[in-house]
Amino acid sequence: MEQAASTNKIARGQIEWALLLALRSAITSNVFEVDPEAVRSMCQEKGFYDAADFIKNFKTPKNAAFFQGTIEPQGEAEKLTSEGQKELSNVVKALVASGS
Amino acid sequence: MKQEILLKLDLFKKELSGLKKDVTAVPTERINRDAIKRRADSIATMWVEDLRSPLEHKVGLPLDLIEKTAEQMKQLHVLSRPNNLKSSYLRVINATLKGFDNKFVLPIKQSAAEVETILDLEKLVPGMADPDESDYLKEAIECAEHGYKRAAIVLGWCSAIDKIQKKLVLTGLSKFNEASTNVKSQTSGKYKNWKKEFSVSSLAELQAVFDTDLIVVVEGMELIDSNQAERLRTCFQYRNHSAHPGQAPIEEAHVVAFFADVNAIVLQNEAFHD
Repeated sequence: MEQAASTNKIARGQIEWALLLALRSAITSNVFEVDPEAVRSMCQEKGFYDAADFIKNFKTPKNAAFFQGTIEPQGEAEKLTSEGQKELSNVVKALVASGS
Repeated sequence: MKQEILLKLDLFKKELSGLKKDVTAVPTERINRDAIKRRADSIATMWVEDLRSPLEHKVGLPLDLIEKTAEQMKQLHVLSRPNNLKSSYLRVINATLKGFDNKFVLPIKQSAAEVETILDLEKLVPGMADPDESDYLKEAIECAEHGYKRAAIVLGWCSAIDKIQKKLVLTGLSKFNEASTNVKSQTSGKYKNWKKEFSVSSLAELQAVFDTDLIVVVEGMELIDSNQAERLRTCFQYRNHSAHPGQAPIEEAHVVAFFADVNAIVLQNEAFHD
C-alpha cells in the first residue's frame, strides 16, 4: 500500500488500513475486528495519521457503517459489518489491480 | 531515531514511577484527585501517540508485549475516570513497570543497527512543504535521506531564502527598500544600531543582500514576527555550521529541528505564499 499520503488521502488511508487490519485479525483469530489503537499505530507508521481527526474520521456516517460498534480512543475492538466486509473486498481488489 | 525512542521510553518510565508515588501517597481507598487522574490519562496518551507505533513497527518488539502493554494503558485510561480504586491503579502501574528495562530498553540497546537509517523529513516534519515546488528543497530532502545532513541543511536554507526572495519580488522591491529605510531610521529597539538601507531593483540585486539583513527587513515588513526572526537566525547559524568547517555537531536532531522551523516560518507560512 502506498505510503506517505498527501493530506486529502489520509482519511481514506486510515479506513483502508483499519479494514486491512480486520482482515489480518480474521486470518489470525477468525474474527473480522478492528482494534482502534492497532489502527492508530499502523497509520502513524505508514503516514496516514491525523491526530486531530483520527477518531472523528471513524464516526462519519459512511465510515461508521463499516463497524458494528462505535470506535472510541482506547476503546474495545469492533467487528466489521457486512458493509465493512464488502468495503474490505473492494480495498483488496483495488490493491490487487494496482499491483501494490 | 534509536536515541529518540530511548528518550521517550525513559520519560514514560519516569512518569509511571511518578504516578505510582502520587497514588501511593493517597491515604484513601479511591482516587479522586484531578492531578493524578490527568497524569494517568497523559501517560496512556503518551503510549498511544508517541511510543506504541515506533516500538511495534520500527523496533519490532514482540507483538504480545505490545498488546499486553496496550491493554494496560487502556486500563489506565479507564482508571483516569473518577472514583477508581487505588489498588487498581497500582496493579496496572506495577505490571507495566515490572521488568521495564528488560522488556523495552534492552532489546533496543542490543540492536546493532539504527532503528531507522533513513532520515525521512517528509515523515518527521509535520506538514512538510511539497518538494516538487522547489528544486532546492527536493535536493535537500534527498540529501537527508542519504545521510548528508550538512548538505541537507545548506540546501534547505537555499529553499527558504529562495521563497523569501520570490515573495519580495512579487510584492514589489520598492516595499522592501522602504522597509529597510524605516528599520534604519529606528532610534530605539533592537535594530537601533542597524544602519543599512537598500535600493534594489531586480532579483539579481536582491540576491546580493546578506541573509541576515534580509531577515531584518522581512521582519520590518511584518512578514514574520520578532520570535520567528530570532529562530531564522538560529537556522542560519545551523546553515553556517554546516557550510563551514568546525566542531559544532550537526546530527539528525539538528536537521529535524532546522526543517521543522524553516518549514513553519517560511515554506508553509501563508505570508510567503504567492
